[in-house]
Amino acid sequence: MMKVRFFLDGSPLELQTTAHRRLRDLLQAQGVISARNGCDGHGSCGACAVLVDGRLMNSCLLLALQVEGRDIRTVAHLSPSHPLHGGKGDARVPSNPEIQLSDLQSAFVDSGVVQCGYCTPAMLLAVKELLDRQEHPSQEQVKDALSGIFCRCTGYQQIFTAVQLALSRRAGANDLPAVAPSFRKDLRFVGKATPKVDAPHLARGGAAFVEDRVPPGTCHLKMLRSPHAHAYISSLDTSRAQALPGVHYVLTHRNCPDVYYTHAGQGFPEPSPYDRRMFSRKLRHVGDRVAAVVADTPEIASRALALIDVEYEVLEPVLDIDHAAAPGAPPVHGGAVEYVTGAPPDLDNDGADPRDGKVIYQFPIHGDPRRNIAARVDGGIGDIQKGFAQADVIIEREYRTSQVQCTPLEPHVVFTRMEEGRLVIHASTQVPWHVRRIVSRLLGVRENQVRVIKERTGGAFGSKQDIVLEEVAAWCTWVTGKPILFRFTREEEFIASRTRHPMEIRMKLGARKDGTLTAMEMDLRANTGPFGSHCLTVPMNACSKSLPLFLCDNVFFRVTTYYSNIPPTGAYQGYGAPKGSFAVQMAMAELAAELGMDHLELLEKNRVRQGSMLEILRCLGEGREGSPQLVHSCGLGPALKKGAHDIAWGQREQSPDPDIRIGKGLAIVQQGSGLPDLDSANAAITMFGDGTFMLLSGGTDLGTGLDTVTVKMAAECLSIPMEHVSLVAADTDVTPFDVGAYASSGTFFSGGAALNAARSMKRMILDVASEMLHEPVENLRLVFPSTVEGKSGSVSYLDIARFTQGGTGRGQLSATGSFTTTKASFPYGAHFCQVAVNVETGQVRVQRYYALQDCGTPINPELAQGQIYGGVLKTIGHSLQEEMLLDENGRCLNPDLLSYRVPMINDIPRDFRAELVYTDDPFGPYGGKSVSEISCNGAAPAIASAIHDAVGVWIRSWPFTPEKILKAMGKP
Amino acid sequence: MTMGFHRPTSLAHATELKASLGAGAFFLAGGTELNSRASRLDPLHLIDISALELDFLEKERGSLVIGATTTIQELIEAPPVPTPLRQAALNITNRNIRNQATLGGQVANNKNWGALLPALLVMGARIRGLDERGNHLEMELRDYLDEHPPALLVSIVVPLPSAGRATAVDQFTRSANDIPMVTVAASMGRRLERVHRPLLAVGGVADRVLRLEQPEALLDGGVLPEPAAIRRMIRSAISPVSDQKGGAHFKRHITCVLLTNAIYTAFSAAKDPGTEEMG
Ligand SMILES: Cc1cc2nc3c(=O)[nH]c(=O)nc-3n(C[C@H](O)[C@H](O)[C@H](O)COP(=O)(O)OP(=O)(O)OC[C@H]3O[C@@H](n4cnc5c(N)ncnc54)[C@H](O)[C@@H]3O)c2cc1C
Ligand code: FES
Ligand code: FES
Repeated sequence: MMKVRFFLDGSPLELQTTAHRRLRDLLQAQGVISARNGCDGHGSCGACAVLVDGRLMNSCLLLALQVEGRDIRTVAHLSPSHPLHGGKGDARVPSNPEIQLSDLQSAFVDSGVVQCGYCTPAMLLAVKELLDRQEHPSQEQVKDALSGIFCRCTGYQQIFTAVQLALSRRAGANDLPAVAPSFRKDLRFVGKATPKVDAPHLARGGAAFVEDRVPPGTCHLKMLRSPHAHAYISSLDTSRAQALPGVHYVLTHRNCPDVYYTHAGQGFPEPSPYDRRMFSRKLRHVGDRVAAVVADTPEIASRALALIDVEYEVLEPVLDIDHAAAPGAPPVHGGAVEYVTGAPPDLDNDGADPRDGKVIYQFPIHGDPRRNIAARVDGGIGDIQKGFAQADVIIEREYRTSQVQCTPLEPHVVFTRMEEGRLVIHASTQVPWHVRRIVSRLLGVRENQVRVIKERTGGAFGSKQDIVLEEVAAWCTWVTGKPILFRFTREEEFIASRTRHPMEIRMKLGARKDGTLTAMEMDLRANTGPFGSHCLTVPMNACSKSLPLFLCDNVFFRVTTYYSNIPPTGAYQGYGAPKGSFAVQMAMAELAAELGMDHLELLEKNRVRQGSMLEILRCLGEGREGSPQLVHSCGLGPALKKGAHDIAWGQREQSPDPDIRIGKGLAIVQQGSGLPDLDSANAAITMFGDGTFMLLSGGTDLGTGLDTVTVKMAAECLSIPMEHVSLVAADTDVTPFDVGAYASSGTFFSGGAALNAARSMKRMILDVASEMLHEPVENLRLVFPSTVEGKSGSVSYLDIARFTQGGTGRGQLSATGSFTTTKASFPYGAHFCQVAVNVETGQVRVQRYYALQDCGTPINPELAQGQIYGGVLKTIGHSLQEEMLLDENGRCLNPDLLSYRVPMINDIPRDFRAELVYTDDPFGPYGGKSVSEISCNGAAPAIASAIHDAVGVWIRSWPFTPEKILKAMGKP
Repeated sequence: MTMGFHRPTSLAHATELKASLGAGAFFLAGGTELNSRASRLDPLHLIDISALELDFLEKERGSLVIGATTTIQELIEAPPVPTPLRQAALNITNRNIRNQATLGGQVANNKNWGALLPALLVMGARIRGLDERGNHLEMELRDYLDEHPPALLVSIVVPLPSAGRATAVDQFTRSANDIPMVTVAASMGRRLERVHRPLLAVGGVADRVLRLEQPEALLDGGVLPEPAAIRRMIRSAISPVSDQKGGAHFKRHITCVLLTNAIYTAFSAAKDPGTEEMG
C-alpha cells in the first residue's frame, strides 16, 4: 500500500492505494459514482473522465498514484451549492434534489441532451473544460472537446444546442435559442419542450443506476464462458474452484434448474422457442455459459474461474446461413423437439441427442431444428405470378446485413438480494414483468415472491429486452441467500448479449413502365445464432415494417430463420425493420434506375397515404393471425416535400476536390406504435393531501423520455404543473403491469395508460367538486393550476384533497387506467442524405442528413428529436463502420468499442437535422405516435442510394466499406 | 500486475531504477498505453517519469527540442511547433487521450500506426536519452525505431523546416476515433521545379513505421512524376499484410494514394529558396 494525496473537488484527500489501482476505482471507492465504466479501462469511451488540473482525462487510464498533488474535479464541483462555489452540500455525490443546477447542467437538461444520462457527467466536464479556455467556441471546437466521449443515445447533435443555450444565458441574452419547435397551441405541456423529469438528477451525477444500489459486502458473480463456438462439455470439475476461500457457489449444467426457457422478454406465450437451459452440456457459441462463480470479490471470482477444469469435445461450427442450410450441416440443436400446443403430426424425435437438450415451441412457428431451421413463415396477398406477368420491368436483387451490437454505454447489469424471504432484483431491463415471470418460473416460486425494480437504464436499444444475466444472479441469490452483483464486461456485451440478426434478403419487384408496382416478393433468410430469441418476430418485422410502405396488390414474403454458432442475436432498436427497410428501399431505388425514373417520383407514385388500407398486415401478425389496418394519419407527403426542398433534390453538387463525388439519397420509413391486440399498459394515480399527485406507471423508461411523457399526460389532463406529479415507474411491487419497453410502445401504450388514469382522476375530481360547489359536472371545468371552476365559484385541488381525505370524506382519490387497442398508428418518415465519396480511397462521408419524422403529436419535441438523432447516428454507424468480425472458429475479433468503431461526435454529419412533421392521429394519447425505432430504418438505404448517385455503384451489403466501394467501382 | 511504483526526481535515479529492476520495469509517462486494460504490456514495476521535468519545449540551433513528457495536446497548443507536426498530433482525434498521452510515450511505444511517427521521421527528428547505464544517447529517430533500445527518452529533437521545405501528413481511418490503418508523411524541398531531398514515411504496412528510401532516391532531383508513376514506385517499396483493418491489396492501394497525394501536396507547398530570394 502507498499513500496518495490529491484534491478532490477542492478538498484535500489522503488515501492508501496499491500500485496498480486506477484512479477510477479509487474514486468509486470514495463514493464518486459519476466516474462511470463503459469500456473496462480500455480508455475508449470517456465515461470515466474527470478533470485533472483542468484537463479532461480518462480516470481508468490513470493510476491513482499518478495524480499525487493534482487537482481532480468531478461533476459534483459544477453544482452551484458545492463548497467550491461557497455553498453547502455533499462534496462528492450531490444527490439532494434541493441542490440547484449550474448553468451548464441546466442547459443540458433543457436542450434534451440528457437521455440515459450514463455519459452525462463526462460530457458536462468536457464542456466545462472547453468553456474555461474558450469563451465562444466554434462547432468544431465543441466537437474536439467531446471527441473522447462515447454516447450511444443522443447522436451528439443537441450538445451544440446545450452549449449555445448556456452561452446565451451567461450573456444574459433575452433572445434564447429555441431548443425545439412547439406543437399543439391548444395544449400547455404536450408538444412543448419541458425539462425531462429525470434529467436534473442525472446531470448532477446522482445515484440512479443498478451499480449505485450495491452496498458493501455484496458478492460478485463471474461467468466462465466457452472458448468454442460449438462443443460438448466432456468433463467438468469445479472442486478446486469451490474450495477456494471466498467462493460461495459454483453453478453449472449439473446443478442448475432443469427448466427450458427463452431469453426473449416477450409476452407469454412467447413465439420464441424455449431452447435453452440456464447451463447446458452443449455449448453453442463462443461465450456460451460453462460455469458461474459467486465469490466475495471480483478477484476471487476470477481466480476461481481459472480453477475450473473443463474438457471439450469440439464440434464443427456453423457460422453462416448457407452452411446452416446445407444438407448434412451439424445441427446446432440436435435434441428433442416438443410443442406445448399444435405439435405437427409428423414430429419425429428419433435420433435426438440428449446432450443437446430440447427445443420447446409454445405453438408452431414451422421450425425444424434438426435442419437448423428455427422458424419459417410465408404469406402474401393477391397473385404474385399474375403481378409479375403484368410487369414491364422486373428486377431481382439480394441484400445482406451484418451483425452489429447495441453497445449500451452501461453494459448488462443486475443486483439481486433477499429481503424478508423475497427475492429483490434491481435490474437494468426493458421488461421488468417478463423478468419476474421468467425468474419465478425458473426458481419454481410464485410471482409474488419476486420483486423487480427497474433502475435508471444506461442505454438498452433492444439488448435489454432479453433476460441474459438476471436469471443466473437471481438463482444464485435464491440458493445462497447472498446479495450478488453481476455486471457484463464489454467483451461479454459483444459475445453474450444481443446483436442484430444478420440477414440475406432477396427482393423481386415488378412494375409497369410508368412505375406502378405490380408485384413485390421478399425472400428473407435470417441467422439467429445459438438461440431462437425473436427468431420469428424480428424477421417478420423486417417484412411488416417495410412492405406496407407501398401500395401493391400482389405481395409475397417468405421468412426462414436459421440456427448457427455466431454470438447470440435478438432485439435491436428497429427490430428487424432496418434490414427489411434496407432491402425494400434499395430495391425501389434500383427499380427507379432500371425504369429511368427519378427515385423520389417512384416512391411518390407507390407510397402509402392517409386512408390507405394495409391488407398485407392480415398475414403479418406476430405468430398469429394479423388484421388489415387503415392508415389514419401519414406525414409522408409533407416529409418528402420538405426534405426534397431542403436538400435540393435533383440538383447535382460538385466538390472542389477532384477525387470527391457527391451524391444524394433518400428512403421512406415506417414503424408501429406498439402491438395492437398484444401489448397492454397500466397506470394508477393518487391525489396527495395538498392536491399534488403520485403517478404509478408500469412504463419502462430507458432514457428515452417515457417518464416525462407519462408525467406530461397527467399534468396536461389535470391542468396542474408538471412538478405536482411525482412518478414511480417500473417496479413490479409498486406499479401496475406493463409489457415493457419494446415494439415502440412507450408513448402510445404507457403514455396512453397514464392518460387514461388521469382522465379517470379528472372525472373523480369533477364529481367531488360538483358535490362541493353544488353544481352539475357539466358546469365545471379544470383551470390551471389545480383548480375546478364552476359558475358559482371554484375549488382548489387542495380543498378537494382535504375534503375527500377528511373523516367525512369519500376517501383519497385514486384512479387507474389501462391501455389496450385493436388500432394501429403508424409513424412515418422520409430520410434524405448527401454523401461525399472519395473515388481514390472509397471513403464515404455523410455530409448532410435530414430525418423528417411524423410521430403524430411530438409529446416532448426536444426528446423526440434526440431519439431521432440517436437512432440515425447508430445506423449511420451500422452502414459505414460498425461490424462484428468473427474468425473461422466463431470468435469475435473486435469485442471492444474502439476496434468495433462506435460512432463518436466527429462522425456526425456536418449538417444533421431531425425535423418533426405534425400529423393528427386519432388513437394515441394526445395524438402521439412512436418516434425512436423508426429513426433506425432510413440510414442504410439512404446512404447506399446516395453512394450510387455519387459513383454509380450499388453496395448491397452492410457495412459500406471503402474496400467494397472501390471493388464495386472496379478499382485495384 | 504492477507491484512497485517509483517516482524518481533525477534522470540518474530513473535509469538506475530501470537497470536494477530489469525487464519487468517500465517508464511510465502519460500511461494511456501502459495503464490501458487493452494493452499487452504487463509491467511489474513502474517508474513514473513525471517528476523529471521533461515537459519542456525549447529552441536550439534550428531545432525544436521537445521534452519527452510533453503531452500531445501541449504540442498542439505550443506556438513554435511546426504545422505538420501539429496536424499529425491532431490526427489522434480523441482529446482525452491527447491530454494525457506524451510525445515520448508515442515514440517509445513504437506502434506501426503511431500518428506522429511518420511526420517526425520525414522532419528528420532525433531522440535524446539515457541508456541503461545512464550514458547520454543521441540518435536518429529512424535508428531508434529500428533498434528500439531500452533507453529513457529525454527529448525529441525536431529540426525546424529549412526555408522552402514543406511537409504533408495524412492517415486512413474508417471512423473518427479509429486506430489508423495507414499513416503517411512526405517532406521535400524544391529546386528549379525539381524535387529536392524528399523524405517519405509510412505506417501500417510493416511492423513499424518505415522510411521509403527507394522512392525517395527515385524522386530526388527529378521533376515530379505523374501520380501513376509515383504510385508504382511506392507499390514496389511496401509489402503490407492482411489483417482486421484491411486486406493487403487494399492497404497497398491506400498507401499509394495517400502518399502520392502527400507528395503532391508537399511539392506544391515547397518553395525554391532561389526563386524566393529573387522574388
Ligand atoms: C483510446 C485510445 C486511443 C488512441 N488513439 C491513438 C491514435 O489515434 N493515434 C495514435 O498514434 N495513438 C493513439 N493511442 C495511443 C497513444 O497515443 C499512445 O499510447 C501514447 O502516445 C502513449 O503515450 P503515453 O505517454 O501515454 O505512454 P505510456 O503509456 O506512459 O507509455 C507507453 C510506452 O512507452 C514507454 N515510455 C513512455 N515514455 C517513455 C520515455 N520517456 N522513455 C522511454 N520509454 C517511455 C513506456 O514504458 C511504455 O512502454 C490511443 C490510445 C488509446 C488508449
Ligand atoms: S471507462 Fe474509462 S474510458 Fe471507458
Ligand atoms: S445519454 Fe449518452 S450514453 Fe446515454
